[in-house]
Amino acid sequence: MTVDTNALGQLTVVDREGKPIAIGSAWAEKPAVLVWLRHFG
Amino acid sequence: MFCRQQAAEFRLHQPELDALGVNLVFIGNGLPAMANDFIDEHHLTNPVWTDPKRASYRLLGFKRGWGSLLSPAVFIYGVKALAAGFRQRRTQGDPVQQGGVLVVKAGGEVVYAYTSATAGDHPKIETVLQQARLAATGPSSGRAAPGAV
Repeated sequence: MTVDTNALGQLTVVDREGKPIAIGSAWAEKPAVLVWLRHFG
Repeated sequence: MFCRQQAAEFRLHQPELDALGVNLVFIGNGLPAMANDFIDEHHLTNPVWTDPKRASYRLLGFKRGWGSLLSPAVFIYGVKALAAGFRQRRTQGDPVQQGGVLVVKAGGEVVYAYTSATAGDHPKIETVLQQARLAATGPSSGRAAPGAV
């Protein structure tokens, strides 16, 4: 699996308050473990 | 049930990730209110984001479809999860979307990627932690010059 973190990092998701946030902010300063859940619940 | 199991597993090991200086982020695909319920229910302190349009799931090629739910492996994972006390609650988000895990160095270099083949197919937490240690201790991508000490 190859991952284009440039493209991924620019994608915007939302935080718990509904504020947009770039996925790349997770690894901008520190290493990151990102877990994509199937769903909440 | 599987997501609850996975969240509980990571939450247990969050102190180690914190000590390593590694961000732990969960990304789901429901509404922000669902993310809030999930945070409260699991007493999470790490960021939980949501991607309702599932653009990141598509970019990463995560599987979607009933075939990823209806397989003998899912039944076995289900029995194990139930035995460990995890019950399926009302699904909040896309019921046939699968997920995965990325471990990324500061700066964006991917050191580990796992795509779930079916529901309940998660990487071993020990494997993820090992990769997180590597990501934390190795040179950051785009920061240290090759061979730099």
